[in-house]
Amino acid sequence: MIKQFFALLLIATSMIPDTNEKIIARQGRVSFFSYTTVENIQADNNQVLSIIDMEDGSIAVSMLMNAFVFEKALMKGHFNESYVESDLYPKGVFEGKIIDFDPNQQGEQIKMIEGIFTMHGVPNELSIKTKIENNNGKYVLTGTFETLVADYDIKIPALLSENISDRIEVNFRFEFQPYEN
Amino acid sequence: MTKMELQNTTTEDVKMKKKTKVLIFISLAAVITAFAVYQYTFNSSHRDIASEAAFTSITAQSMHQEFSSDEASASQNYLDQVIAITGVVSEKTKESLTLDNLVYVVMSQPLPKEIEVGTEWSIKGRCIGYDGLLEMVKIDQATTITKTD
Repeated sequence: MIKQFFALLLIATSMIPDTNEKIIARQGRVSFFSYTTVENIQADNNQVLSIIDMEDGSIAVSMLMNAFVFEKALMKGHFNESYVESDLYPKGVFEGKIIDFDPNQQGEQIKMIEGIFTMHGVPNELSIKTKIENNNGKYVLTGTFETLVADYDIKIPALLSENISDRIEVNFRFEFQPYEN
Repeated sequence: MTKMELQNTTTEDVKMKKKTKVLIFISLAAVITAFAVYQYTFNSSHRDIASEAAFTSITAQSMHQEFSSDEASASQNYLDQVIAITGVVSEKTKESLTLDNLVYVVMSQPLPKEIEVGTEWSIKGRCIGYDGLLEMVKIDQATTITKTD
């Protein structure tokens, strides 16, 4: 009887999701959009890395500027050479925390992420709303927010100011899997 | 009007016609060049990494070593360059692989079946930088060259 009880206990505890671990997204997607009357510009990065520590909800994101893909080669050239200066500042890094993240809650939860995003060598405090979908331990984080070009000390020449919005829409989607280290 | 004058006007006419022809030709050429220049600057095609020759060949280990010891100078050397990298495949997914657990490679095509974990390969791709989170060098638009063991 006692043996059976322990066996049951063992099964029961093994079924509780282990929250003492990290989850990782290796091919997260971050997109920048600029809408103006002259033209719309979109840049996609499908190789954004992110790690979440399930214990305290801390999240880190790392994106390489050179991995952004544009419709036109000229846009990519301007972006890397003149705006984000990816030779000097090759990556954008976000470090923050998902407030009140409950890793055990199945289905959808809407949470705020607060932290600091550094791009072009300029740190900015961000507060981002995110939708977290938990499907049996596979977490998908999505969200949209707006940011100002000027916040990152990026100067757009007067000649192109008609073509590029000073307000950039950022979309993201990360699919997380357990991270075995 | 004398016969002589008549002749003169016809040659004038012919000259005029020639002039307009030349003018039309020049303006056409100008339009074509303008269009070509516009196409070249605003619609120039993207780099084709697969067809570019590798700028250098290096092992995954030594490349990682360079990035982890001095990221700034390694970035200057390798960022946005086409490089051939050799290493043992330590992990793979449908479209990516890891060499020696040090270099993360995203292929431009789904991974060929012959690539197996534990075998050594040389791949060619563009270096996009060093990821501080996992401490890995990242390569994209890669194509395989050869199996090296």
